Amino acid sequence: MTFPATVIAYFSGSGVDSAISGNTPRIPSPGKGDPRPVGSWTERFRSIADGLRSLGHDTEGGVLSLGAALQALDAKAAEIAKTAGGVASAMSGEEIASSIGRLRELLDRMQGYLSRTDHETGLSEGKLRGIIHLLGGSIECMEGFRKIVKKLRILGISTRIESARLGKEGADFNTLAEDVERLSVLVECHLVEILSREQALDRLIRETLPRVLSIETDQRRRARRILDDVRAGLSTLGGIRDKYAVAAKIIADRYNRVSRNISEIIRSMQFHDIMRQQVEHVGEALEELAAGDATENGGDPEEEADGRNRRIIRRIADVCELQAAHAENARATFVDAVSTVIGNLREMAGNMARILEDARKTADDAGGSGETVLSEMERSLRSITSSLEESAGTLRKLAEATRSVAVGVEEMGTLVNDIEEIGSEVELIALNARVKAAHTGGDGAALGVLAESIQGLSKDTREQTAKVSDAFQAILSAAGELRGGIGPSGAGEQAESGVRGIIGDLETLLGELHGLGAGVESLLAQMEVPAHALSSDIGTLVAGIDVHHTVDRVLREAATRLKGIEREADALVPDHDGAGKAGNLGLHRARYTMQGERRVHEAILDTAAPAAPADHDGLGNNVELF
Amino acid sequence: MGKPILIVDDSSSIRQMVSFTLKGAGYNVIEAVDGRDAFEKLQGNPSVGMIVTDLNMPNLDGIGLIRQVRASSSHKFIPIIMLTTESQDSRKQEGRSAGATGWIIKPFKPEQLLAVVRKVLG
Repeated sequence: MTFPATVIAYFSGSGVDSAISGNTPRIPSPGKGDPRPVGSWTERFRSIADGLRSLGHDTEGGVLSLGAALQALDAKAAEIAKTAGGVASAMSGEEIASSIGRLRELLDRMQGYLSRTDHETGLSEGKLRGIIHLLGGSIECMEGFRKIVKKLRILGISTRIESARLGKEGADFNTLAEDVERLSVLVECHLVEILSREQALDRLIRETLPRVLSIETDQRRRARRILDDVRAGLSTLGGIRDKYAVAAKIIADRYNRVSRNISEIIRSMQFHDIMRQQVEHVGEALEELAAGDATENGGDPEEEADGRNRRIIRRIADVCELQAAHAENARATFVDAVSTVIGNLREMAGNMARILEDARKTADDAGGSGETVLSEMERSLRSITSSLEESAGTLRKLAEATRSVAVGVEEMGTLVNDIEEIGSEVELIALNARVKAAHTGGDGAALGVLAESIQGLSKDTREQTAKVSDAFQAILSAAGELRGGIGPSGAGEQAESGVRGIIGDLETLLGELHGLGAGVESLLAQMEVPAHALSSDIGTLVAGIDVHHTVDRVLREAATRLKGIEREADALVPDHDGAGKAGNLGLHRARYTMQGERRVHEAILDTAAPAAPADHDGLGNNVELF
Repeated sequence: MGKPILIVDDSSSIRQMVSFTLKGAGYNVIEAVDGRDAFEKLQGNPSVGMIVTDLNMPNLDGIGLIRQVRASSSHKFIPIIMLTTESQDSRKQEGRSAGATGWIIKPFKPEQLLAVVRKVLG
């Protein structure tokens, strides 16, 4: 058999068999895509091994730089995610919970306040209606005084007539008649005054009552509005909290994705070391070929030189096939790992951008008007404040009106006292008349009758005065209660003071919510620039990653060259049945300590792939604790 | 956080990733480039609480390092995790016999390494 120059050079270089070197060499046609078809196999093995030897070292710098950049990115991403989480948790955490709790407390206080004001207005209305009723009774009493006045006038006239009939003896009765007439005028004057005041008071109360009723209606309406507003506020605040809680979870989930990106990158980065070892093993196999070790394996010492050479060439073909497969596997695995790194870096940039978007979206109002939820909250709270102020205002007006009623009733009390004095005076006149009638003797008998009438009238006056006095005492008492209930020291004042407290608390709450909003804005501003910078840094980093290009080129070239030699050897000594392959590659198996390498080996030999190890500790099938 | 962890690997990129993982979880880390360097650093750092070592290294390999550490009085009982590309049962058995606490085949996921460290350190 005639061997080509490349084969002869291989055998010559390795000093294996000089017997064939004398044959005329025939250089085979270059294989398609073979970058170096000419030259001895020994040189080519060494050349490929040389190219592979430095690959791990030459690319390690790039991998280390990438690792260092990744650590810096991770630190920045963690900081940004922490700030973003702060944005959401600030609004979903303790502060909002506290605000909701305090708003609930305010709601309870408002309900208490409104119940009290309802009760106050109900009492005021009842008392004013009672006063009207009492005034009606006192006016009836006043009608009794009209009769007394009429009788006094008649008695005055009768006394004057009787006095004239008696002539000189009846002169003293003129004075008595004058007294009686004076009293009738006095009583009438007081009567007119009292009636006038009673009518005025009646008018005042009748005007006040609708106002009280109107206030009551207003208050109930306001009460509903206030409670609706507060409930809306509470619901809004609860809604904000829910939204932020959801956003906090979304942001946390996104950061978990970033963490998974980092985790996947760390895993992928280790493939450089795996590739390095795999390439070293390829290099070792090629060095062995270059050193002629492939020829030293087995063989019958008595075997013919041609047969031995054919066996060696076949072994070279098989080893080249195996090493090309390893080079290809190392290349594909590493390129895939770097693609995973790049993919995860891009995803990481996307996740960080979305964290920023989520945080910003969360801080903005979800409403279509573009106003912040906080502004809505503020409007609700201001509305509550305004309602409470109005409510306090109407209560003040009611207090003023009832005070006017009470003052009017007190003034009438003075007039009743005057009437009581008139009753006493009538009694004195009656007594005086009886004494004078007795002095006059039989002629004064008629006057005695008059004196008895006056005496009877004094009794009527006393009784009537007592009735009027009782009526006015009842009115005074009702007015006093009315004044006390809504006056400066009463429940009205307490309610007003309560309103002032509630308004103060609402304003404090508003201030705090504003502070919270400002805090969120500040956090957003803090993360905006670094988040954009991070995306930009990741973009720059990804654009600069080229380590896989070098590995791809070197290993692709090595595989192609090995396949070229394999083709050359295969052309010289075709493998008809593959029977010798297992023997040719058997010793190489010991070199393959990595599972991936063993898989390649088994694939070339077309034998069963090694089974994946069991997951002993639930930590993954690549982890075992002893 | 706690005692430092000694990581031993002749590959800078692997040391970088192991260190990144452990430091990120709050552990202090000491790096060594081979078994010999690791044993020297261990003598100078009696507070080291755990060793994570590669198997194949120049000067002194992972098995040799385990044997030396187990023979020393100061760190006789320190947990040693082998972190290697070697997946052969025979090699694992060798490591186990030498006194390894556990075996992790590269590539590891950070959460796996941290789970092992937490489990071993308690």
